[in-house]
Amino acid sequence: MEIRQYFNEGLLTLAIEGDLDAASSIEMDNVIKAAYVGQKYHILINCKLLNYISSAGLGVFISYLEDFKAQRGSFVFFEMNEEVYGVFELLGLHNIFNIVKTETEAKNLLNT
Amino acid sequence: MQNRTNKLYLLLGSLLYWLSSLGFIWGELASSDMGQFLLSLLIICSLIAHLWFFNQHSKHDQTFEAEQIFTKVLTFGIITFAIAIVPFVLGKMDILLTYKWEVIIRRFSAYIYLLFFLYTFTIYRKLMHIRKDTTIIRQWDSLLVVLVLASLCNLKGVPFSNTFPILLYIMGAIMLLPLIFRVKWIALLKGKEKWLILLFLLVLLTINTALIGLYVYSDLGVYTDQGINQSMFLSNVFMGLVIGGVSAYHLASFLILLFYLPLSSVIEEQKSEIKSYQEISKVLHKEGDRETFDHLFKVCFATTLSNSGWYIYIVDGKGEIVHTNNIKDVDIQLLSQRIGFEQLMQIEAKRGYYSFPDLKKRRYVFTNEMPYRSLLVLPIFTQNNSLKGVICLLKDFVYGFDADLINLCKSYIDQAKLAFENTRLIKQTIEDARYKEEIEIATKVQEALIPSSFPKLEYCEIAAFNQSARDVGGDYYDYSMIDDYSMAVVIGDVSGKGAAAAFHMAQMKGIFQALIQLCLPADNFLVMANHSISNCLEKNRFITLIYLAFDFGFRNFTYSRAGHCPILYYNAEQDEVSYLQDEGMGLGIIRNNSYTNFVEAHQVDLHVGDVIVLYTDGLVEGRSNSEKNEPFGYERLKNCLRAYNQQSAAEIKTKIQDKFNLFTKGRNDTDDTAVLVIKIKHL
Repeated sequence: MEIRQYFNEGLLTLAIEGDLDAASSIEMDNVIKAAYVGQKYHILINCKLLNYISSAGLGVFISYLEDFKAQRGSFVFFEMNEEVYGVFELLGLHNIFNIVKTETEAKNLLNT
Repeated sequence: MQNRTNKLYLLLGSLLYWLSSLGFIWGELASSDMGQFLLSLLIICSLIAHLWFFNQHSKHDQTFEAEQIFTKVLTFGIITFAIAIVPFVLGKMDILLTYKWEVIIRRFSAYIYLLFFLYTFTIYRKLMHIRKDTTIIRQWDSLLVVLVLASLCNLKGVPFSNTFPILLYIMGAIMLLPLIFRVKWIALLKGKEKWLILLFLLVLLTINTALIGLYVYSDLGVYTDQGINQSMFLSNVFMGLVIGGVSAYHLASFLILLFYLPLSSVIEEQKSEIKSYQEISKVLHKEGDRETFDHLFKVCFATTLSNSGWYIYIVDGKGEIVHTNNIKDVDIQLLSQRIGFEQLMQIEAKRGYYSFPDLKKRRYVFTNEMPYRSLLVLPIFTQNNSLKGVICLLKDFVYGFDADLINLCKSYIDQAKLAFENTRLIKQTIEDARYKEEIEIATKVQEALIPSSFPKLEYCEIAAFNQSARDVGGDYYDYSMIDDYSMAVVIGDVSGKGAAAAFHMAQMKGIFQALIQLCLPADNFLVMANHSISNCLEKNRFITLIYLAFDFGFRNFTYSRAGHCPILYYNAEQDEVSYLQDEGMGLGIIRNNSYTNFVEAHQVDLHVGDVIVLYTDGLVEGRSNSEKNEPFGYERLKNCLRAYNQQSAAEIKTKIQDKFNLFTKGRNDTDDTAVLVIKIKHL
């Protein structure tokens, strides 16, 4: 897995490429922890190249959910493929995470 | 013993030589053809005996150092020269001696002359044979054969054509040529030794030339007319080859050494660098990371001849000034602040070093404030690009760190990096072993907590299988008869693997067994379970679960799904297989009262022959062994139930298990797989 980070207009975008499994979730955790410490509470997650997400990968986002909410921040996922969306849906996570189609939608969501 | 036999050859050779000399003194014998033939035969035998002796002697000689060999040769050479010049000096000084004495003196000097060249010739074999191979040994042996043949030219009274000696000279030259350039010992000379050897060779070359001069002059000049027919050296191919070989070797060694001298310093520098690397790596690889870092700092400090310095060692992302040399902490802080040390370490493109050649000019330090004028910052990154520490070196003058010094430090750092990598690998190996142990424990826990067999029940049959994977997870299922008409069934999966997952599974069993006594509605069961679990589960873990409450009296079941894979249901009345679609969030994802909003309870009517299949994600996500790498998936599972729904629970379970194993061909070793089949047989 590879994570690319872009930071502009006060928004941090993380583009995840490959499989987010137990092994790579450690890196994901570090990235999000760094964002939190760096007070970047609005995070866009580009899932276009995310092939697979395991429960450990989901655990990373779940574990920071409350912390970011407390700072009035949030995660917004976009361009998620069906398979990955299926995993989110199965767990009921589509109810608590923002999952949108495009990056523009995601940005609009965060700006409002 | 060998030595003594060998000495006999010398004695024999010497004896034969002097016997022939006596023959010359006893003039009559020398004047007859027959006498000359016999005398020359004696000489030939003597030559071969000497050759044999010296060849053996050099083989067993214990001197291997070029310097020692040349010292011996030089000493011998000076003595030989002193003796060989005697007859010449006598001739020059017009000192008349009797014929007998003249012959004796001349013979003696000639004998020493012979010994010197044979000794030198054979002892050089040792030099030629440094780093020898079979070719060189063969070349030497064939040269010896040519020499023995050459000695035959001394035979008198047998008419040789002139071509024979010439042919021998050519053959000898061909044999000698590759041997002359065997001068590998030059490359092994150390430091001043080279100059000493060069001097030795110069002196040897002089003596060598003088001796050749004597040889030529004495033969052609003074003595030839005086009835000593032919001296043993005249048209003597044997001696010609020996003297030629020795002279050529002297000349070649001298010239090659001379031209090698300017290059040698470079080669020696490289040698010493290699040696220091070896020493460093030896020290580095023995100790822990911290000690290695300490050592690395000391080496860099010493080699750059720095005046002051400090290093920072990073543990768990926090840097700590560990060691300082001739610098106060206050100064370090001031300097770090001014050069923007923190920012420097965060730059994305990781550079090997940062050099500040003139601190004063850039206003990093001021006169009378600190003595430091140049600074070298060396960040040390590990193999996976995390910062391990920083070494800072200071000098009291500007431009203190040139490219060479920086490169040297960088190569030391590379060595240290290897050491860090090694420690990391060792740690990983230990962790792997620990992980394996953990997995074993988890497997045992899982086996103990999951029911392996089910009793015969009145209303339904239950069958289940549980396949543990290499990375055992937290799959769990259980059932409980609440009263005669009600039964609770649960299937769940704790996220994560290993002992921790198994531990949470045990907790889940406890919660399930406790809550089941309360006869809660399905959705309330999940809310309560979520509440209990939230308090004891790490933040990044969650549990997926399905809770089913069967009421055989009312012929229905209610269920609630908490993020778990949907129930596969065969409706016997409508003969239809479907997944029960609904909403439901995993346990431990939302850890407050709002969880209630995310769970639903559904009621389904039961009929005789209905089949309910519960399973964990390991089943639908199991990958095929083919190149497509596709998952087993929901559709295959559905088709399975469609095909076998008329069979017993145990048979359906076996069919699913077989299909799954056939599909994955035993490759499914990353996740556990659990399947529970319930078939209603009587209502």
